[in-house]
Amino acid sequence: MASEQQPMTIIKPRQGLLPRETRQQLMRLLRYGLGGLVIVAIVWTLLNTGAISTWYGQWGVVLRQALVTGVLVGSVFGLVAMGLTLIFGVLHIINFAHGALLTVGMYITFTLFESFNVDPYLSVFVTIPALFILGIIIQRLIIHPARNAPGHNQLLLTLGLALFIENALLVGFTATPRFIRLSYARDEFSLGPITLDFPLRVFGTTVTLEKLAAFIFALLLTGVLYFILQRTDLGKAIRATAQDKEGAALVGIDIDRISMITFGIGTACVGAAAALVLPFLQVDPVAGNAFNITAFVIVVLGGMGNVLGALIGGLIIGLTQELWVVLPVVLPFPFPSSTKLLSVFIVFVLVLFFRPQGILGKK
Amino acid sequence: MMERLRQIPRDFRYLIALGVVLAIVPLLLNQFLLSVAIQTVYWAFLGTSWNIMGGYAGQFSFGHAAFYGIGAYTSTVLLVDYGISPWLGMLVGAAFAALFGLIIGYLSFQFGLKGHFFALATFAFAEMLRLVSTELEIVNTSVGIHIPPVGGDSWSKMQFENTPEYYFYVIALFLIVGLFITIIITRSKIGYYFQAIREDEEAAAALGVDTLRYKIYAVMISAAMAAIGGSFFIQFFLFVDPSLAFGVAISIGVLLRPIVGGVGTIWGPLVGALLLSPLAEFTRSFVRTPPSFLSFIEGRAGVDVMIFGVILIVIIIFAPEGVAGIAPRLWRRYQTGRDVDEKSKETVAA
Amino acid sequence: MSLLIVENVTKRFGGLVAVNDVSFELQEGEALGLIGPNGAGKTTLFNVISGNYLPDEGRIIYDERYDITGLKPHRICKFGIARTFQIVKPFASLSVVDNVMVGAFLRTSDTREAERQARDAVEFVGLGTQADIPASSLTTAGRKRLELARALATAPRLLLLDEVMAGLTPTESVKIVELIRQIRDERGVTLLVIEHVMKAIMSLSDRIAVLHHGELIAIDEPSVIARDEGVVEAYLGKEFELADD
Repeated sequence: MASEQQPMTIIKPRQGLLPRETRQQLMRLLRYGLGGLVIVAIVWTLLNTGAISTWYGQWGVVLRQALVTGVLVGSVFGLVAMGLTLIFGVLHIINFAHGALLTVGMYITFTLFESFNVDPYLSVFVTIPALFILGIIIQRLIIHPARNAPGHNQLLLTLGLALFIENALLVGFTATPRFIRLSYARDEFSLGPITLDFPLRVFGTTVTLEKLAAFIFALLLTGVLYFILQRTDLGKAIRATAQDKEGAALVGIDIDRISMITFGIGTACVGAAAALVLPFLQVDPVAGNAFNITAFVIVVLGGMGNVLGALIGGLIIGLTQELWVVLPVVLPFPFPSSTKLLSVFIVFVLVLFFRPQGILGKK
Repeated sequence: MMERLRQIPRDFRYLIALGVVLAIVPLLLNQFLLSVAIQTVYWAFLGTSWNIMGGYAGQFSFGHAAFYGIGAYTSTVLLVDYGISPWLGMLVGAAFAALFGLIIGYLSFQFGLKGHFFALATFAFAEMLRLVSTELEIVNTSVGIHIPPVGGDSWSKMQFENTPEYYFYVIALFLIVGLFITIIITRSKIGYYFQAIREDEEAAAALGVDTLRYKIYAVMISAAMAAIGGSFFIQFFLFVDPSLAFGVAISIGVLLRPIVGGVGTIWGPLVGALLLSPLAEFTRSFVRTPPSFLSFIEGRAGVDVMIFGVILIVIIIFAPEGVAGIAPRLWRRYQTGRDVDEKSKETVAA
Repeated sequence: MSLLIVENVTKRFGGLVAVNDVSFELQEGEALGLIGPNGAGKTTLFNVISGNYLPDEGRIIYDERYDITGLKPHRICKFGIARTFQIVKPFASLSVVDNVMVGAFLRTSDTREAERQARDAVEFVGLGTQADIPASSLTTAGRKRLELARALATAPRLLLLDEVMAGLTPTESVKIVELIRQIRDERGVTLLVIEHVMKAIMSLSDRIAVLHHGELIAIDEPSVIARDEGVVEAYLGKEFELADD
């Protein structure tokens, strides 16, 4: 009916710098262009297999080492991020004290080792409950009273807490970096027929006992946490609260209690991670900061509140960091060397822009 | 005279009063208190810059150090390498920061970043700048840049070794201008649009507000002001390195003042700075020379920040809407009667 | 003349066709009611017209001259199409008059002028005595009026009203209907109204359009629509009778 009395001219107002059609064409061109580049790259690779295999022969070990280290360390990142993402999922706060709490765990492990000669892998039985209780105290004392305040207040509270913890540690332990070394890190272990001689040599790469142990324990703890969340009543209550607070309250879940316990579990994750990383890192009062930032990125990468995503995100970030560091060495063209952390932020910004819902999230 | 004054809107009257107070203050202070006063006014200025973007337009920045550092480095490099006066360098830095704000604002908002995500993005940008600057030759990598002291006072070099009061007057002037800009904004279209965007973007767009454009405006204004603050501080401190310029401490310090004072209020950042900055300075000097029964904390690094952290937590728990949020509420309760009277007078007059 | 022409508009969400090939014209000064069961695509159609959604097919012609399809909401508002939201969206911490000033600033940059227009609009919708209280302390009915005042302050030629009466008591609804009638009669604003309160919409509208499963199944005068068997079947229910007014 509209077409019968078509007006003479219809003006199409412009929107943005370029008309929509032009922009669409540009985007199409860009997409074809990128596709073309990929094809060119593939063809070039096929034509130059010789050069590439020489290159790989030269640098393959470095790359494989980066991959192995990345995966091993990434699992611990995942564990730290899991705590953060759990807290975000249920309490909707970004916990800036997460890294500082990791440092607390590291100092506990250090003190146990120095003063009582406790093996760091056994000290998880202290750090996990200690950080769990600390988390509950923090939640009760600081987070809970501000639960109805504007969102940025919680962020500042955790910031104030981080300041407090970092500086209390500075007062207590001074800024001198502390570390522990395992007496058995270079021993041979016999597991039945297999003898493991640390550090292991796998395909030309070196796998240290410390990192392998961290990897195995991190995966184990991730499994335990996942089991708790999926199979136990507590876990179901936590997931229900994360999904729909009001709904959970309606079916009789005590939201305050769940918030408290979730915060505790979240900080217990860093308690575990702290004991696992201390054998191959050193601790000073701000040691947790790098983990904190990395954990934020992983949380966004894995989807805020997504526990499994945190593990995958952790592995991705671990790989990215290690590969980033070797890039200036292995690339056949000049590439500026820079700190690992920069790669984390680059990934972060890309994820924020292109997949803010995370790699596992649905649009 | 009083009649003329009364015709000026209230906030401008307060601003004039503040100007008078700031003009007198340095005459009353000793060296130590003057440096506390400079810190206070400087943080109030930075807080005012954050408040435009984070408070009025509701775009929570957790990476104001990005803008601050761009200002700090621009004026410093221009001065040290090219001999350009910091007054000019400051403006160039402000322009660069605004440009950077335009770019990251456009990218972030075009990709629909909001709330937590936007805050984290600004944080990431600041950290990226920090990490890149540690490798960058032009800013002398992580070593940092010293500004050679001219030895004495020089207006063109913005150095006042003999009369540090001038530092105070410079930053006080910046604060007055910053607050003036804030007041102008709140009383005009742009301020109404900022607040509409903060409260509900979709509703704002439905009323004809070009939300993307106005959010970017907020970022740019805020960025330019923060950059000027950065230039000033480095001129005062005579040294800059990546963590002084782009460190998290700046980003946090900048947003702390308005949040403690009152987000999205004209006077909030100033109130917050008046509370926090002297607090930080005094706890620092308290730890340096504690009373005898606390002598064990003497000179222990970190105790001052610990105390600061605790006070911060207490303030946020007990004054969640900022200290300035409490005062006006009491004031309003007292004023309600009067307002109604004035209104009825107006209607009669009309 | 036709103020708005909706031409073969289709909007899909994934596999769901929310609006399917809908075409109609809206005459200047007319009040067109848009009815249909929940999920019929009424609000989606609104969002397409107001620029919140980009249609997959079809176009929207305004004032017989401008193809406004896919323009952003603020551009469409500038053309003179204002809307209200089903779930009201007041700027909670701003005062009532400040809320309305945001709308008034579309046509003027002068603060005094904006305030004058805003107070005028606030007065018009009957919130005069509450002009200076925060929007958050308004009642539901007050907030609905505020939505109207804000939209009116943008000086629209066409107003899209999305369930203004939802959540109101019958008495409040009657008053709002009266207000909407005034908007058309006194301000000459063309109306496109989504409403579930059948009596209200039948008395308010010059014509009624019926959406069902995203399709326009009928468009005619209220009395005809009420007797249309297809419509009654699809939506109004067998026992429906047109209440006389």
